[in-house]
Amino acid sequence: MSLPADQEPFRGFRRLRIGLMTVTVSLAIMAVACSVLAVGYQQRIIQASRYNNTFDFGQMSAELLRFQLSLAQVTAGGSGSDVSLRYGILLNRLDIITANETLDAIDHDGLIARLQSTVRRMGRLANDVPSVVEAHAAGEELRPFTRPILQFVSLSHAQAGDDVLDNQRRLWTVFAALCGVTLALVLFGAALIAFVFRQNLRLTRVLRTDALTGIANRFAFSAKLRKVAEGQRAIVIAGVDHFKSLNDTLGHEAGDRLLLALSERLKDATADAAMLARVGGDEFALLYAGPGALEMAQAASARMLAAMHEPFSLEGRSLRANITLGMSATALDGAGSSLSLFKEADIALAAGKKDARARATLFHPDMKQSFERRQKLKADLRDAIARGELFLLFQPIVNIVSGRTRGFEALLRWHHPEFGLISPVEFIPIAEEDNQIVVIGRWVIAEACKQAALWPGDIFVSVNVSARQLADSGLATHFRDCLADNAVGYRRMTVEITESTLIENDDVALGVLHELRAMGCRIALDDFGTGYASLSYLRRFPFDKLKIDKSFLHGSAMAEDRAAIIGMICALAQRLGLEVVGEGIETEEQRLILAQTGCALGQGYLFDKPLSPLDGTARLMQEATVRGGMSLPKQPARAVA
Amino acid sequence: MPFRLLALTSAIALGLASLSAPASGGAPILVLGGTAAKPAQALDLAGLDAMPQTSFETNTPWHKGPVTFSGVLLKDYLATLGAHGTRVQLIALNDYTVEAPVDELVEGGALLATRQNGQPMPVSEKGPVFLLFPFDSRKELQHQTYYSRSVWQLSEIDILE
Repeated sequence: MSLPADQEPFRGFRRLRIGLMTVTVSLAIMAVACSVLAVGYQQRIIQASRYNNTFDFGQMSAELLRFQLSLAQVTAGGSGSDVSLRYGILLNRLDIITANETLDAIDHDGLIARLQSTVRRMGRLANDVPSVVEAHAAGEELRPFTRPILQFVSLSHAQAGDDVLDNQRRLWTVFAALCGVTLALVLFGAALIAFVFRQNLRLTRVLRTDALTGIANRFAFSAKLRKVAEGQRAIVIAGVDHFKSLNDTLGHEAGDRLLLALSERLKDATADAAMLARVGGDEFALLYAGPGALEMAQAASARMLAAMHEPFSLEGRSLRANITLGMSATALDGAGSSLSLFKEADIALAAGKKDARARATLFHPDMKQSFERRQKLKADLRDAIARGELFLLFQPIVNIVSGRTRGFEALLRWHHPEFGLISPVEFIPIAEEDNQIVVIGRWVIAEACKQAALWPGDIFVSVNVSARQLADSGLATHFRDCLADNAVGYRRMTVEITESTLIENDDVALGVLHELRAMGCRIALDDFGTGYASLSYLRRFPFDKLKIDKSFLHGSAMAEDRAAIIGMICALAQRLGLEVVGEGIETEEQRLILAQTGCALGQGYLFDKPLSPLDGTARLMQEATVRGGMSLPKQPARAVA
Repeated sequence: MPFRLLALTSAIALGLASLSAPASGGAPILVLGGTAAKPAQALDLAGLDAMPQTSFETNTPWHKGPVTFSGVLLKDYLATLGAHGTRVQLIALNDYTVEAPVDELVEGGALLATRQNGQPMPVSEKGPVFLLFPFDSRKELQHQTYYSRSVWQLSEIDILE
């Protein structure tokens, strides 16, 4: 199986970035090119009109002819009054033409320069009217120029035409380039806009898609809920059972693969849903809308649960995964908001996880109340230690034959200011849920040690420790500190764990237990016989004590059968060198069964209920006076600081 | 580019009535004509000199390097002669002729230059009157429109309308 969703977007974004940069740079270059071309274009237009040589040359030839005419008039006996005027005008014309920088390129033979110097030599004509002879001489001198000058004018006219054509061609090229650049700019701009739109669409899609499974995510689901706000609706939320521990034991990658495979099965089972989304780490939500939404959701739930029967195969490993479903539906009139529907389904899921795993639970208004109570307990539990609401009771563990107290099991109680006494069965799972159990467990250990310090040195104290507490690698140190601070011998501490604690072969937990045992603490296996693999546990860890579960005493089996089972356990324990404690002893008959089968210790209402520290001390004092020979420190003497 | 505009405020009152003939006896060099109401008014160099004088330095397409021109602003010339019109025809000794709106000429700072670098200009050096603009002062004056309206050897200004 591959996880394409992991890399694709990043490659896409890199490509997008490179593309955008390329386009931007191209646009910048084009803009510069455009400006340069535009400036060039403008300059060409200005140049094209400035050097209008043809007109100047034409004027010059006309003035030459008019000057020659005025000279001819003198020769023919005229007054010659305008000779000097024509002379001045011609001279000015020649000056203007020779000032023209482009002249050299046209006048290769220096014709104009020669004409200019010839005319300048006639300087006297500027002021005086020439004589007939002078006028004739000047006319003769100028005559050879007439033909070449007129030829020059027409040649330069043709040349100008060529220049104009050339200029026009250049202009056209520049203009075409300008048009090309503009067109390219427009196309680029259009492409950029299209690109941005496409990326926006893609981003929206990414935003609404769960990266791991490729189905819709919570965001998309919420949007859908807002959109589908009327008519019959049903929401199903599916939670993967024990996903956290699966993740912890198999690793996150395997967890992800499982979610992916699981989502595929859910997808196949719920093709008729309005939407299937992954709304949390291990939670999927389904929306059904329209008439018969609830029936459709129920049918889909059955299909989803059935889809989990087949184990998942991950990298050749076969793995079972179950889902628990919470469901909520509108009434037939379709009233109610989709958002509250979602919350209700969530509550139903939480309720289902508590007592109906691997099934679908339909929301019931009562659930809301218990959900809210649970939420409140969870919040209040955080400050319960600080407010002094937690306290310990101590149930005596006695010699099953003599009834004499050998130790106490510390039992945690919570007195809630509003709800009164809360059962540990209710609040311990809540504490486990958000790891408050670690802090609370440490407090229990410290309190139990303080109490044990007040009791004689041969009285042990038992403390229950959960799997989560054992995940805390500093737990053994905490035990050591508490025992040392209160000057309680390590051997007086018994650590009770249940079979489920070691369900995962957790190295940290085993390490902590070994450490505690090495210190001298006793390790007891609680509720023995209730798990699936009780006997195999005895191999996993060298326990010191076994506590036989009370179900063996209270079960429906005949007394002889019970005795046989208990006898077998005790025989086994003796062979392994374990002390056996019988739990939940309520009748003399039960005590006898245990006593006869070789069980050494007993605990139960037959002997005593869980006692307050004071009552516990009182019990010990009473035993001491009745049987004699033992004195107790005064309660409540302070222990060592 | 260096550019200088000097308004010489030596405004001398002139007897307008006598202007139909050269006032100081010199040869007339510039004739204002075309006005329906008044007869043509010819002025010689001294007559032009008697009007408010202005000078500036500028480059032109027809000179190498900057040249200082001085003379009468067209605006002052028309005002002094009491001439009103919106459009004029400029005619040169060589019969070069252009037409232009008076407003544009005045707005462009048209000068009836009579001296180049302080010296009167002969015909061979675009004299005796050269209408030109202070090209260096404004970029838009460096355009064919103004070059073609720069009339050297200007001899006659006709008011068309």
